[in-house]
Amino acid sequence: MNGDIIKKIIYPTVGFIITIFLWDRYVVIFDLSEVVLPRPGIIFESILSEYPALLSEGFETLLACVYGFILSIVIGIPMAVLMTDSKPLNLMFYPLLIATQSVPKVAIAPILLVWFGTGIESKLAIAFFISFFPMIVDTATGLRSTPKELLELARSLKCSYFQIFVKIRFPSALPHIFSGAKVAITLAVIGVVIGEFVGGSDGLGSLLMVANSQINAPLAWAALVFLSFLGIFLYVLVVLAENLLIPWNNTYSK
Amino acid sequence: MSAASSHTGPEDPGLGSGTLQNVKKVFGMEGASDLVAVKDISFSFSSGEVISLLGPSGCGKTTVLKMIGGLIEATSGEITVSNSLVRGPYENVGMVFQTPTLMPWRSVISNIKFPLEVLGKQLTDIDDKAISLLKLTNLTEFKNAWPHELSGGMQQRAALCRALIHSPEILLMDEPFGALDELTRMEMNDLLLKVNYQEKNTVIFVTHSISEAIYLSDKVHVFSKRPAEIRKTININLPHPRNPTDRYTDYFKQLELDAGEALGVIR
Repeated sequence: MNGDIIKKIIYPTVGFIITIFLWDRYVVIFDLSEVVLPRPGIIFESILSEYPALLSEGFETLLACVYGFILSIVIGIPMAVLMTDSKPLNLMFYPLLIATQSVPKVAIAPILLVWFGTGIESKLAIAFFISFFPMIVDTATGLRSTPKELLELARSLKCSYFQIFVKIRFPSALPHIFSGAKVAITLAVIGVVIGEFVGGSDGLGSLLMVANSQINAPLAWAALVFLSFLGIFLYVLVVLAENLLIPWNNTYSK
Repeated sequence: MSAASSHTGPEDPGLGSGTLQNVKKVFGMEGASDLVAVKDISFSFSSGEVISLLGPSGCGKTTVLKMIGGLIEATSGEITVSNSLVRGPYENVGMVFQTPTLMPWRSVISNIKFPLEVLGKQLTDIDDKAISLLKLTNLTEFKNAWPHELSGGMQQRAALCRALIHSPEILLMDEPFGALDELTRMEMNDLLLKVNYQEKNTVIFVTHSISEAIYLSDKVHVFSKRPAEIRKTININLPHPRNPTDRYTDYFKQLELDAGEALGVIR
């Protein structure tokens, strides 16, 4: 137990402090300008003085991420079901699906901006476009990897397609669905920030762009810090949901 | 077994009995010649018997088992179980596979009750049945555990309970103890017999262990290599209930020798 605390808390904290210290010394020793790389303390001051703006913009970004993520779930999962259970649909649309992923996401952002405007819609569209793919692929993998013998058991008990889906295939796909969701939430954050870079008028991404254009490096870095906290926060939420909904999945607990 | 008065075997002696008549199975292979898995199998079993299908791996004995369960359709020949022709899956069958295949998202008790849930059977004594099966298999204190918290042998015991929960007349077991260590396997053999004495259902047991087949069965059908044919049928006249020391009698050894010769492992 004690060893656990040392490993999980003390070591990472020490590593973090060393990194911050080296960063600070580096800036001082090489006399770097604040625009190139601000000292950690200055970034911290900027966070303290600008936190109302950071929080409210952060909230905009957070909402967009969550909506985009939900979109990729409610659209991605049914699409995965259709594509695993219908051979024709799979043959018709799977290549297209792969093709959409070869398009660089940043390149499609300006087009989506034209379609959806500078509001939250275009951010959602980009977040969805970038995060639905792992959702579909992992859900499909999960639905295809139901243990053969469980399906045989179901058949011997004369289960209907619906019973097999609800009682066996879907629950057995849940661990895969969650691993897709963990990738998707990370990608959703990236998608939203791309959207805010390209044309958003709010959110941490656009705050970062504005700070950059005003050569306010500490604020830009402060936005960056908030963005990474936001990413971690959302990821942890998905992991918590996973532990809550599929406590029987012991891949991480042991 | 007068104690099991509520379950003294089927009222109709035909229930749980069955016949295979010149059963053949050919799998059509794409782009290759057809695969004859089962050439010509005929045998019959009566209610409450334990029958083993003994043969080398991949010889087609599992295919025969699945045909009896209606999961695979025979290419030709006739299979009758409980006086009716097998034309697909039917309710009165319990299946145990080589791996426990419990649903990891259900507790042990909920796994065991699964067949009743999907069969839509509203038995008033479901809980009694589940509790008695748990007791019989020493799982009572694990009924609310997750499957992954159990050992392999315990999981397989839970799978056995699941197969028996709807009181099927016939229990189909496909190398159920093949993945267990020798000691656990011997314990499971005795447990299966204990269950069979109580439940009185017919057991068709696929295995490639000679001693397991002999110890458990009333009759052992020794299969050839693919395509499957019955090389020899060995009647086991060991007294019931079996005793672990039976394994070390001369009679038992003679039976093992007979089976080994029929399999072609002893020449």
